[in-house]
Amino acid sequence: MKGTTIGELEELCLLSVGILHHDAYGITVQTEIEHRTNRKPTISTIHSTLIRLEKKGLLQSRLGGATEKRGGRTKRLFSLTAEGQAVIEEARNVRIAMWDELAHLKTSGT
Amino acid sequence: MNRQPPKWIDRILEWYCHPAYLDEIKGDLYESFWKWDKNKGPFQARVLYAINTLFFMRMYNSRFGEKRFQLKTTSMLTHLLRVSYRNFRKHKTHNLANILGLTVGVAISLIMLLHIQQELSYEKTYPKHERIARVSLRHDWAKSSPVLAEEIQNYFSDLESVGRFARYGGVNILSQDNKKFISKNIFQADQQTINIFDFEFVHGNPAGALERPQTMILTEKAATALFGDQNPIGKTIEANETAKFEVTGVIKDLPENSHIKSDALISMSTFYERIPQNWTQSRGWMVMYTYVLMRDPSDFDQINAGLTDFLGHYSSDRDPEDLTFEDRMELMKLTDIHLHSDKIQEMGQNSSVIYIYVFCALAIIIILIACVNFVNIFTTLALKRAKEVGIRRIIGATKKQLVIQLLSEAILSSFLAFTLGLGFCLLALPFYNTLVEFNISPHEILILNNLLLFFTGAFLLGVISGLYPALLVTQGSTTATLISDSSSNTRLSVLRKSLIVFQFILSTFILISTVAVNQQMNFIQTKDAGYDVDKVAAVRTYGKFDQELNKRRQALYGQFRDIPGVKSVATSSDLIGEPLSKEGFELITQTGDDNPNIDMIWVDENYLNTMGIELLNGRGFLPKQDTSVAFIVNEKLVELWGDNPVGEMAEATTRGDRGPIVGVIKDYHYYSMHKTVDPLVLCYKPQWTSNLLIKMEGDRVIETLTAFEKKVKESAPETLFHYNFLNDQINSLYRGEHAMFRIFKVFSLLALIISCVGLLGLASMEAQRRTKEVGIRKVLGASGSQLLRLLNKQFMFLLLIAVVVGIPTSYLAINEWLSGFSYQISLSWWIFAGPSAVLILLALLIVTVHVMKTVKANPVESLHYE
Repeated sequence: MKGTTIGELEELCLLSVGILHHDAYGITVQTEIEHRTNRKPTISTIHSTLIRLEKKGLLQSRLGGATEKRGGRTKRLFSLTAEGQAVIEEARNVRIAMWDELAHLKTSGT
Repeated sequence: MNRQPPKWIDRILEWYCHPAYLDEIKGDLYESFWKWDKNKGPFQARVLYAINTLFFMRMYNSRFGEKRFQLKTTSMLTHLLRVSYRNFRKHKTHNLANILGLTVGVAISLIMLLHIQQELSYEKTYPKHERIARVSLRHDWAKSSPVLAEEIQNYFSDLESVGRFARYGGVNILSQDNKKFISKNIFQADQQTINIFDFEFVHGNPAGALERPQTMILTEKAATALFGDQNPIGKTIEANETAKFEVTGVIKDLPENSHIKSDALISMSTFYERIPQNWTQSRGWMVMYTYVLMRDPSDFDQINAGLTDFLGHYSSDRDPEDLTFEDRMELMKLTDIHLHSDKIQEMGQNSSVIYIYVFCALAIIIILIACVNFVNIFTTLALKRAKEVGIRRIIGATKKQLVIQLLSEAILSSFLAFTLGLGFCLLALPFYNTLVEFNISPHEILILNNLLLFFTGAFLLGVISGLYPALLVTQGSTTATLISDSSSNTRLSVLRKSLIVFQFILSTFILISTVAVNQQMNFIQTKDAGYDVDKVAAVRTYGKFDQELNKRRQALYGQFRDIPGVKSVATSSDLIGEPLSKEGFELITQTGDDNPNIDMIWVDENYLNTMGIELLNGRGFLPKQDTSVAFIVNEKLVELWGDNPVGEMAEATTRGDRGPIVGVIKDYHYYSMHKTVDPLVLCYKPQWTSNLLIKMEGDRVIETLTAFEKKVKESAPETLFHYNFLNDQINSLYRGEHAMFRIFKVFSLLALIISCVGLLGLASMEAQRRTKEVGIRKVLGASGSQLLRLLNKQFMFLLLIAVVVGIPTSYLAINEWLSGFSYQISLSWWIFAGPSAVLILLALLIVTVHVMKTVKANPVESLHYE
């Protein structure tokens, strides 16, 4: 697990891929992030992040799902690997633990 | 509306993106495009599409990503580049000299090529240039009779149309509302010329533009000067205060690369109104430039051959036996005129094809010298690396790799030099244009095809210069390459030596030629022309002033002479260098039909002393005695006639003037020095003159002229005053030669420098190679001068060979060139010996300076060199 720390955008991507389940590729991930955070990363940013995550072994991908809308071109459909899942869970746990701490501080403060 | 994403941007992506990702990225972008299209409209969608595509050019999906650089050949390439760079640094001076030499050579040759290109482009701007030809008399006149056009059109069915030009006046002043335009080139032209030459109309209607008398077409240049931005159609222009013209059209300026230079065209009917009918019907009056438009360029030979038959028809009033060779006509292609025509009374000074040859030769010589240098120095440098090559072979380099290494270095250097040369050429072109008073634009080089050709040249030179040393170094056994010093390889020495000899033959040739050209030009300039026009200004006399002058000539002369600084005042019909009229002239006693026409100039009584022309015999004109007409002839005419004609009565038959011959003058060059002096008649008839000649003295010439102008304006208040110094006018006759000569001087100097750079490189190389030998000789007791002699000896030998071959070659070439002049220098021995000696001394100096270091070095140092 050591060395697989991830950035915020990477985390968002991983989460989106998880949420989108079987339909996670560049555009859908971008839309998901846009909806959730109101930020507009460019499609190339998303794509490069996804590829990077795949290289880190957190995502896996297969090609498929060409549609008319895409001019008949394939999609690269991503899904979480076990490692990827572990990383986001880890991230969540870290945050929850930290929030717990924060809540304690808050109560004691008031 | 285009509802598709822009395709061109896809192509960038396809070029950049790694194929593994290409499809999905394109898919994503495509999908986004429709989303944008729906939300933001088609235009924004396209913009966003383009931007987002460009954002996809990232490292992770690059086709040129890390993997490629891991290939074996690539790492080898970087290694080779590094070695090349190190080598370059090690022999910085030699490499730099090498590349710079080639750069200068390339730049010069390019400029020359552009110049040639410009000369060859003459007349090509006219769309029908291939079908246009000029009819003129063979070996004689560029002009022809006014009636020729009609006759020739009727005789030949293959002619689509015939058009003529006739010069209007000498210097003309067009004026309109106080605005003036001065032009030496205004022609009367047929309506047909508009179609033949496709004059491009900016204002007005081509049809009928040159039909009515007193109508005129202006070029844009003239129109702008006279009317500014206004449309001048229908407006009236005054020419020389005497004639009024209606403007019927404005055309684009005539192309600069054409022998037809005209600032305005006047309708030919004006000519017919102005000139009496017996003149316009004369078959012997050569006044028109007649151009024909053939139906097909291939008709040329047939029509040209048919001219002999046509002549019989045309001159049917004459006995065919009388038709001499001189009467024959010839057709000359429009495109040949600029470089091949040198007849009497051309429209303007034409160039000569000789210049093209000289330029080609010069360009080739210079690029050859530069290339020889390059090959020579590169070979020497490469051979110094025999050890490096040996080591490489031991490590396991294949022959192919070694050859590629040397080749790529050679090609790299040659590319560098050619590219720099191109840049130099573009930078130097403006200066060159000022130097030769020419207008060359560089866009010819920048055409893709020419650039391709250019860099193919660079590539070939690289291959040639790299291949030889590469093969030489890589052959033979590895140990041999390591042990032996291959720069002393005898076979190579022969090559290097012959290259050096070749180079210096060329340098000798150029240097000697330059000196000879210099001599000839000086000779022509300082040769006694038979007149003295220092501080003589010429003023054209027009309209009112001309009339005034004719009415009270003597009174006005008296007033003019009273102006301080004016020595004398005269009038004449033509100035030096201007084409004279050829007229029939004979003694009353020797009337006959076969007397040749003779150059004639109309002057007043002061002409001889104002122009400083020497009277040999008889007297000058005297206004009191010569009340009607009188003549003075030159020596050449006396020679032609055989005895002294002074005192006899003569007749100018063309115009029927009779009078006595009162004197003989020394021959003077009324044309340029290119032509020999012909028989000449000075005719006393002041009322036919149109130039006022003012001889001045003292230093305040301009003040004198201003005072003069005031006096002229007193007698004719509105007149136009335009003066010209005769010296300037005469110098302009040699403008072509002067430009040529300046080019020659500059380029021969550069050629010499390039050769010297080559010699310098080799000399220092040689000195370095023999460092050890010199050290040993010194230890054994050789003196410095002995060593210098030793090292200089072989170069001197080579130079002597070069000089021995170069002198006769240049002798032949110079003789050929000189034969184009009527007055030539005699080629004395020092023209050849001088430059040769300079060359040898220069080489000696260069070599000595370079080997001096080796000779002076402490033998201990030089022996343990390496």
